[in-house]
Amino acid sequence: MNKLLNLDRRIIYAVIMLSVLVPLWFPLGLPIEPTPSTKAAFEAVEKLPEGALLLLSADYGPSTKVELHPVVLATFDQAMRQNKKVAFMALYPEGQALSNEAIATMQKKYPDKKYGVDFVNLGYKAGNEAPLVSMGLDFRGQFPTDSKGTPLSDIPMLSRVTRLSQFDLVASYSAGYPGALEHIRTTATQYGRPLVVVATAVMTPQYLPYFESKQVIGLVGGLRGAAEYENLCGFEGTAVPGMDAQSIAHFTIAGLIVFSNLMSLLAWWKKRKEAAEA
Amino acid sequence: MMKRQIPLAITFLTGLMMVVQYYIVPMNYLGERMTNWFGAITAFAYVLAAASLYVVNGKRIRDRVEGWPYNIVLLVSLTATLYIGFFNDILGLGYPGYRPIDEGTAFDWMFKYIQTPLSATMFALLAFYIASACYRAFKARSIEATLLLSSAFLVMLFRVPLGEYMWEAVGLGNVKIVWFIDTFIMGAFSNAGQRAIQVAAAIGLISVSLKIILGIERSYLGGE
Repeated sequence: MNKLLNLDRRIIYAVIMLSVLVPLWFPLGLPIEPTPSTKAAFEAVEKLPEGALLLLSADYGPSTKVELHPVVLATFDQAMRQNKKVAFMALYPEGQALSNEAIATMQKKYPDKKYGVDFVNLGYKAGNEAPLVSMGLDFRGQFPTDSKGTPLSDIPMLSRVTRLSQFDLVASYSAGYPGALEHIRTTATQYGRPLVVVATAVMTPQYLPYFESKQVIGLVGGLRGAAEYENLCGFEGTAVPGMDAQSIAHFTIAGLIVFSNLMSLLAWWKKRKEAAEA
Repeated sequence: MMKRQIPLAITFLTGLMMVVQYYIVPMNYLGERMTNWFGAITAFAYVLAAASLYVVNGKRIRDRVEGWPYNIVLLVSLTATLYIGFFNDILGLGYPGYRPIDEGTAFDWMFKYIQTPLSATMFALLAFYIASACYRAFKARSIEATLLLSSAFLVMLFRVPLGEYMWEAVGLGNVKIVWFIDTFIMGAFSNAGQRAIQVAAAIGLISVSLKIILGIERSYLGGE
């Protein structure tokens, strides 16, 4: 029993590995019901008119790409389908390269859409919350050029943009600091821009009060939220198949916890019995 | 005296100005200028951070502190990344107009094929550690621990598609488990806890900021 209580961690690792890999090889295709917060995020983009300007803030790095990048792609695809304009910015240094990756993916899908006309990458800004505060007062002061060095006045979709208030919607794809919380404080609360937050699963409960108070108009949480968003958009990405793996992994971990509690209970009962006999 | 009084005066004036400009619209431009300065200072902080990495890791290598070969790996990676980012164009791999972040450059290649998989691997390893830690530590030893375990179980099992599907499959579709989790566990207990933490943290932040502005808290100057 002691052996089972102190199960070799390599066995646990192997069980978890299989619980993730098997569903990725043999997808279950389970239905995913969208939650109201994800629906609200989807609707916020959906109801914007043609030609509307979206500012997508890639505030994440490769470690959280699995959870956040699928929503970036799904939103980008949604915007391109509906002829809306997308500008990327980043509060994480890695966010700039990940935005480029999203642009490269969409350029293959929509070869008729042009850089500078339909989408643009403004790049990374150092300073955490400070660039957000300045952006609200003087957008061009913070982003005089895009990430390639082209002046904003020479970029057709941004040639008339001088203030943050000219963006119809801002979305923060946030892995932590700096990210959604800084956008909530400045972009949404100080400058009154409609804000959608896309967060990792562990961060989502932190942003839930802001969704309830309507400071955030949509909230997409973790891989589950990403899968819901992909389904709503009809976009074939990596989140929906990923949810099968997450489902099985959750059940495996729950099973392991039940098993270890049963073993502990048996050990306690056996010890008590031995004490009573002695 | 000057070493302490001047930084304290700068902190007081800057803090005061940032508070005042927020409430007086004609003074907004001051806040904007200060935040632009902050951006520039942050950019310089990266340089300082890189220099500090060289000094700290160099010392550890010189003193042969336990695990020093890892410090060598860090310094070699740092130097190689800086070299490729700054000087690759000198070798004719993209100059003129060379931008290391552009797609197809060596810098971009390093990001895609070294940093991305390494970061993802590090994060993915957490799943294994969490599973192992749950097995050993997540025990129903007291009422509080049992409550935590029960709510964690409900969220873990029924906020994933497989749990929802199984709940329906066993004929419990009339009992809205997802609604219960969203409304009570996430919407009430978790939400109330989050609000309490955030409000308390905000009040704490205001208090610490005031202490720094007024010169009561001086630990940022070093010593004391």
